[in-house]
Amino acid sequence: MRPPSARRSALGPSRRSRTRRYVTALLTLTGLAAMTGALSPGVQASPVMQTGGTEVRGTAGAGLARSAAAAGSGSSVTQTNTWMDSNGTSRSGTVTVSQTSGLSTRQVVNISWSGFLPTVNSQGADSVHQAPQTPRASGYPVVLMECQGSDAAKMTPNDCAMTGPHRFYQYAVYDANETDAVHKSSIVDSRPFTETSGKVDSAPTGQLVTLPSDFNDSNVIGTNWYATWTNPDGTHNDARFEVRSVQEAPQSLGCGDPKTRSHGACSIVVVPVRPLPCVDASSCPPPNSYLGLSADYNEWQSASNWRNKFVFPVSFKPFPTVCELDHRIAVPTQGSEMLDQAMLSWLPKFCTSSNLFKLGFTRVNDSTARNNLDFQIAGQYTTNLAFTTQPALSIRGRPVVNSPVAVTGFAVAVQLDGADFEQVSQVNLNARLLAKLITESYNAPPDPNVKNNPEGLFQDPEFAKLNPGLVQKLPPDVKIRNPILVQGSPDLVYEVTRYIASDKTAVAWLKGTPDPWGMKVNPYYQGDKWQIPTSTFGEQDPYIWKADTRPCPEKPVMEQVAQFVYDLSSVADAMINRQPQDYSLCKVVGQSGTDYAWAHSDRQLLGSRAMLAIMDIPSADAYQFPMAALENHAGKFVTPTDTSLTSALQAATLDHTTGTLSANLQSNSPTAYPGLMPVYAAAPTYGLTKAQAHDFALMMTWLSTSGQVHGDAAGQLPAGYLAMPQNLRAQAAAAAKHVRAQDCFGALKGDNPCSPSPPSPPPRTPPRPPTRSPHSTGTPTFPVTPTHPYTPPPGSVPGAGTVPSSSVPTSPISTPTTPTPSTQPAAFTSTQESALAAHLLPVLLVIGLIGLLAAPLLVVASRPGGVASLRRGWRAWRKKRFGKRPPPGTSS
Amino acid sequence: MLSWFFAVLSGFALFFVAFLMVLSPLQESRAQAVLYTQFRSELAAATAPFGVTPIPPGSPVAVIDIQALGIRQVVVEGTSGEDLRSGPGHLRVTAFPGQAGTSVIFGRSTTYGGPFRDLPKLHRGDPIQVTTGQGVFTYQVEDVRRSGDPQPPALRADQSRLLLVTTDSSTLGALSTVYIDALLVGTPAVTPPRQAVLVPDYENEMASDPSALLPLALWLFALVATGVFAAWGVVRWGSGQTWLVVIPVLLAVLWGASDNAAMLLPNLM
Repeated sequence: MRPPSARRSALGPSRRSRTRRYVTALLTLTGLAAMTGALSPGVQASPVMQTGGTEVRGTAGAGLARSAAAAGSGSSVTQTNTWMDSNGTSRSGTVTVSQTSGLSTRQVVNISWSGFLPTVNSQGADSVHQAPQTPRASGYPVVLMECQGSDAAKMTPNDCAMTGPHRFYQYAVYDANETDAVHKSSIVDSRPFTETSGKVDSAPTGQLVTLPSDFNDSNVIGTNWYATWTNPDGTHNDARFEVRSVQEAPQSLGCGDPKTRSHGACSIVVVPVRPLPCVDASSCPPPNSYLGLSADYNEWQSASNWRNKFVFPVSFKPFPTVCELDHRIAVPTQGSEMLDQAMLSWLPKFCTSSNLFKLGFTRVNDSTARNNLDFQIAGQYTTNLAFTTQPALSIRGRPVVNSPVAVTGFAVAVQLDGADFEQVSQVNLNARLLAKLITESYNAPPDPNVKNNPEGLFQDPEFAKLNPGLVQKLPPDVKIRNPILVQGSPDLVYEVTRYIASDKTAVAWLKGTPDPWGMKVNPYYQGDKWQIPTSTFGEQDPYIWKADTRPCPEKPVMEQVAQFVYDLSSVADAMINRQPQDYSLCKVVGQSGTDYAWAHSDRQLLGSRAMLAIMDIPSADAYQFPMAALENHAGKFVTPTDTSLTSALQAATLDHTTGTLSANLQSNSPTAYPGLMPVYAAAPTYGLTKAQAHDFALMMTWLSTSGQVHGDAAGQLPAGYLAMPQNLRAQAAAAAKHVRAQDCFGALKGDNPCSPSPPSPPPRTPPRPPTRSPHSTGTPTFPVTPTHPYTPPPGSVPGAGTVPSSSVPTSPISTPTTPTPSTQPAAFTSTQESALAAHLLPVLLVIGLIGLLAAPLLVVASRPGGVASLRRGWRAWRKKRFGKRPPPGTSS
Repeated sequence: MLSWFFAVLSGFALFFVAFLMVLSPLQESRAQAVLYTQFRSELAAATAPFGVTPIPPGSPVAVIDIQALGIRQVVVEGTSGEDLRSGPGHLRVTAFPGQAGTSVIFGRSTTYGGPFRDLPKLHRGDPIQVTTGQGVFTYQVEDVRRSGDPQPPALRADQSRLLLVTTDSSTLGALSTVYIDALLVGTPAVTPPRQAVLVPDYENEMASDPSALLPLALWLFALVATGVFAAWGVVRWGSGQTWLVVIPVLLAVLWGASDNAAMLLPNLM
């Protein structure tokens, strides 16, 4: 059905012009096709490989299966040994280990001693500080290591985890106290090593003994033995030693594993190296004209030194794996990483106690846990208990109560060794220095954005001003440009950036005002480009050095030097492993020799560490990382201690909506630590089953009472957490009652799911709670404005922004109402249906077919006489089909 | 005039049916091929994401293998109608496959190839293999759940469950949702703390994506423009040439419009 004009024009043109038109048409079509092809993103069949620097790759740290903390006071042990001097006088030495029982694996203990021979250098000077792991030239060092077994009398060097190069007999073959067998050996014969299974590793003359692969310096975690010095007065006060167990070294140490040949017994062994009594004076250099070799740290194993050893048997807390034996079903909870260290103590207690239950804990970001509290999948809430620092809020149909479980905070941990190899234990930092570190503002050549700034923290005059005399003690070239930062968004990040945002000078500097020494913020973080408080740290400077000739994929300069890891326990791991987390080395990977990838800088050696990390206080305590003193609002520098956390808690701001506390960064308390972070357990007060409500109430009560006693045993509170004061315990007890009763405490105004009228079933997917926008404000005040209408219950302190120090936060929780039986949500599947999905296609098909039929019929019918012709056609068809007679039942 | 109306209406209706049943599977299978290539190279380079930082919706995150049904699909991040056009999608707020917790994967049953059409035929114990940047995980089907069936036991903290969601389907329609639970055999991979994501309502089950309305309007505008061009061309240019140009353009525009209209349908259809 073409209009007549169209027919005319189609017939009209000559043959040649018609050809031309078809060619034009084809060209148009080709052009359109080409355009479509160019615009379509799907045409790139082989995607470009992403090699972004912030992507986390490879396997991850084992999370909770790792280390823990301890209060460290309960099981300190001191031993005194006596030995004969070379001139026959009796001498005694004393060694103290800060903690020997209730240890967690990889925990760091403090070892101190007195009465030892001062360490000398090869020139015979009285004392020399040498890098602890490479004291090659020093005489009379002290060797610290871990050995299998606990009986000093039966222990031999074969039981000790010490790497191969230091097992050669060396001068032991001339040692008067050695056996004849050793006297007959070569100096390059090795002491064997006995594995936990009883297998003996030995090596032929001149070759190294190979220890099991779990004890090797090329591992990620390396080894834990080292040698260090004694001061001229015969003492050393702060040698730190990392204790390992079956978790890291099942074949070499097996501590805590009853199946090993020593039944899991292990000891810390301290060997003071002394002058060797030689069988033959010509073989050994005389002790008083020391040449360095017969009294160096390799002589730890010769009999004369070995007999003077100090043996400290160690024992561990139950490992989290003990819960695998508990066949009860775990009650799942999730939330804050700030509880990592506490959970290492609490979880084994829960699963080994018959009056408690098996507690399951999944570490997620606080905000994730809060969201999951209100999020349903197929009718089930993702979690019913969230551990969080910022409060969880009630929503319609899901009232929530927050119960305090722990008080701790964030710390800036510093692993720093001076030029004399002594560890630096006192560092002062303020908000502006933290801002400089986080905003990538220290000069990283060749990045032009920060080229006029100092090259690192220690080159910054502001740091020198806050830490008089410290920079002069450091090796001249040592730099810290980037701290180790967490990549996720735990509430810790929000609290750190809130601390920076609370400081006027830091905020002014971030807006672009140079500091008094002319240092300016990296322009990619200036003003609105980095709005604080925020919930994530991030890499923002995109400068790429185009002239870089290294064969690795292009990577922004700041992404190379930035040190991001994805959770807080990885921050602690990086620090204890002394492994920087930058990606600034371009290394060959794989077999071909032509593939390159970015890799971390080398591990730092003991004695030349320079690392800084923002992490949780309990982990820093467990690993004995020195923590920086932070400047508080009163202008005082305060380290995190029980006292400073108590002061901070007394000054904390109370949120009237939820009854939760947060650090008050405007407080003028001179002793308050600004990094306070309380942790709450948030649980619903409506909709839990009776069993769930009972378990959570029991947990809240237990954690706030028995769980708040400091100590090394399972279930006790590790160091780094403040034992909760009485009023917080009372708040927890009240919250537990509400959870147990499921009394809808904390419900939004106008929302009363517990009312006697038949409750409407909770919405399938309730609206998520209004989360606090981390990007909303650059002002230092914490947004405590209630985000939903809610009348504080009687008992709260109305109008008080800050709770006076005399009356620490009053629990805003009212007296419990009469428990009403709660309606249980049905644990049955409910499905979704959609009429559209079920019927659309058939309906469309019918419409299409009817249209297909109707269109030609209508065409025919609209012709003059068309209806008549249709009728004729119908009769003809009927005649042909049924003969002359119409079929019965049809009317003609 | 009326006959034209009926012809066009039935043309559109039939084209849309044809698109959903014939053309959209083609589109999905092409998307799968592209995603598979991409994900394979990411796995090889160990850059496949596993949920540390938020993953942009639509990027491949896993390969799901169900041998019992001969299903092998690349799973994308996100569950909006748009994401599910390219294959099954991972509900972004749930655990990542292979990690502790419940991981929810949506898949269409009827349109775009209906990758999950046969899922209700699974039996208890059938293995489901999921490959992510963290390794290969084998799940065992626990149950196929419909309305009124009891929910599976609560998950322990060290367990991982896969919840596959699709719909029962007749030949031409998607009926009510079906849930398939599968429990991980072995221990879950390490769960890194994740940044919280909030997903819009149209990523929930059986939701439709209203954001497709604007593009749909633009496509319809293009359709009208094509029609105007066709009318002008037939009058001024010649019908043969005009149809030569217009028919492919018309098909392309109809395809684009149908693709957007399909996003207004429930995402599990």
